Amino acid sequence: MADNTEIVRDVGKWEWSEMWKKEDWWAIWLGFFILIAGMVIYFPHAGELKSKLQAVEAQYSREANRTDAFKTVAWYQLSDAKSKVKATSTPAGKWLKTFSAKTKGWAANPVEAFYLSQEKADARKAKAMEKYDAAKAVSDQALAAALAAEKIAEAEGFQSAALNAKAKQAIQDWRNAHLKTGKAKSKMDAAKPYNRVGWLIFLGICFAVFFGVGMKIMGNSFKEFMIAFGFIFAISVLTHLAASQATMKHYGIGYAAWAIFFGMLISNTVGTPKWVMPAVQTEFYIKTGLVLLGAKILFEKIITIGTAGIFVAWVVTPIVWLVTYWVGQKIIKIPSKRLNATICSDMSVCGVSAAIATASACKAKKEELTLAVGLSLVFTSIMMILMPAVIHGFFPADKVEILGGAWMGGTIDATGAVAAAGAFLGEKALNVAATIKMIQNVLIGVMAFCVAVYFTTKVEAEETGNKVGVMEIWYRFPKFVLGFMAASVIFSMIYSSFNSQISGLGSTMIDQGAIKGMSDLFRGWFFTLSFVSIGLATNFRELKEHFSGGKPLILYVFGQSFNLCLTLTMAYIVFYLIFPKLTATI
Amino acid sequence: MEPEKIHSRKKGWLIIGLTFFCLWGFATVVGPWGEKHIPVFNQIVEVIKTRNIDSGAYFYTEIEASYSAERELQGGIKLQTPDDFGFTPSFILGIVISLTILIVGFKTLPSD
Repeated sequence: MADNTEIVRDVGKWEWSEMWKKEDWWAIWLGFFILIAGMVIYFPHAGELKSKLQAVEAQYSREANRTDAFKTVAWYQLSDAKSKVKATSTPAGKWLKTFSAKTKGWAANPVEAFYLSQEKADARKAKAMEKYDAAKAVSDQALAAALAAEKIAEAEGFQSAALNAKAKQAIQDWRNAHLKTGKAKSKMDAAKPYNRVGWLIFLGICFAVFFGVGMKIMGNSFKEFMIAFGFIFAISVLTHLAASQATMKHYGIGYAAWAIFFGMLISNTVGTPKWVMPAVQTEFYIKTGLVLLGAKILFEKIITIGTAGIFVAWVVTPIVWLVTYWVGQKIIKIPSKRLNATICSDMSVCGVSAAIATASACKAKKEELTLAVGLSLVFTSIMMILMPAVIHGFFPADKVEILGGAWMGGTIDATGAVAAAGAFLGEKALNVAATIKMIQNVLIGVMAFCVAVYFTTKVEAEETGNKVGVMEIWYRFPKFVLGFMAASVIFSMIYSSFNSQISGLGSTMIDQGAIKGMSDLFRGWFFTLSFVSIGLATNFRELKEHFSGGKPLILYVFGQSFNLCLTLTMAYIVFYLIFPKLTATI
Repeated sequence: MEPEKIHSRKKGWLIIGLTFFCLWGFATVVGPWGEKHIPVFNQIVEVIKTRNIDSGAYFYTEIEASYSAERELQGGIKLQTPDDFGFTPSFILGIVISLTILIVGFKTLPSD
């Protein structure tokens, strides 16, 4: 994040040259370059994929919708068949996935993160095939039982509640078995030989050129940047190597933590080499990544779980944010408003992603973002273990999955931890938890915009002592936020427009196309580069100053406790008192 | 190079080496021990392994379960209570309340 000296405070007039001289604008250009490339690659396949979806609907639709008493076997088969229609399955999508892939998972031998021989792949495949065959046999048996139970229920015209319940249970058993088969199959399919070394070098060179062009036009040396970037990229690869280790994955220690850790380890021991500094461009990488993140914030997603979801994710979150911020300023007296805001976002919205967006929007210092992210990561790991245990131990049996899922989805910061904790409680809990988190993710854009406006119009005005006029707001407003919001609005519109043609086309073209097949592939790398840069430019002493008196920790604990209470109360009210009919469909 | 600088450089490399050694120890000994012996966590790890969940993911698009959950829940509402699906009055009320809280909240937040 920006040092005080880097913050634009009193620029009195607009200059068009900003559009190619400032990294805010370059973040927008580079971000949109990737997004437009994604559209050019995938959108020409829309017609062909739409025909596939129509064929799937023609095959299953009538059977799938013959009752509304429960989701039939055919309903699930229709849903499964639709989910297999993906834009990323095109040759270009497959190539991009290989090109941008990070290191592979490994347990004891780090070489396996980069290279797997044919013999080892064959051995893995044979082992996976055994598991798959066993899972497939169970799944086939469960399917036969589900179809038989459904037929009995149908013979009574789906009017018998007892038979419907039996069929529903049999179908659920089949789904659980089917899920295990699917995972076993994907493990079997993934058991192929690979060599990531050449691809990673190629990717590093491509990224260096990609950002190097912007750096050159902004007036920096292209050659110096290219040389320095090699170091940053190498640390980024090391970061993914650590994050892909099995134990670290189980503990939920993701790439952001490793990137900051390795960066700080270097800067605080042997020191960051001077020749590396031209590529320590935290803001440039982070803002480009944020514009890509904007494309994933699709507004239509908020309807997924109906009104209950919007109240848990969209009403509780702003209340928690605002109350925690107020407490931080007035009671705990956090010296930095920017640190206060960043902690509020990572704690109440959705962890690291929200912290990055807010820190950039309010121009927080890099140490402030590091601190906020660190707090979030520690508490995420703790909550991922403690919350399912508490829910399992204290919640009434009939409320464990839905109420528990909603509670965890609304409070655990990181999506991965939410999914892991939800899956432990059961399928319904996973679905509810992941969906509440997804709806909360959509709030990132709104929150970042509000924070940017608040800091530009109120906090900066207070700091400089100047009254802020309309034009002054424009001069000071972090421009990349506009790119972030524009990407979100444009992609939300395209997503809805695809869905209006045929249900599921939005997901096929956007979720499983331009996003997963383009923006997501690069965003993770850009955030890694930015966190490595943050680490390389941070020293422990500066970080310690921001942690004075443990105030950030007190703020986080207060905010999260308030969040836990309010989310649980709201989830109970909306899921069980106001919308019980909707809850019954889950 | 000055002797002091050489000494501090050596110390730096020693710390890096020790840190990597500790990380290795955690990844291969301490961490797996905790996975087996911390109650509930051992079951969560089993779920993570079986379902191949990336518990370090930061955004919903990084988790496949987000998409299957979306299909399952949306499909359930559309099939069983279609009147509750989409931009219903109560849903819009939820959005209006949220935005009102944000607008009023940020307007009244202290700036000093």
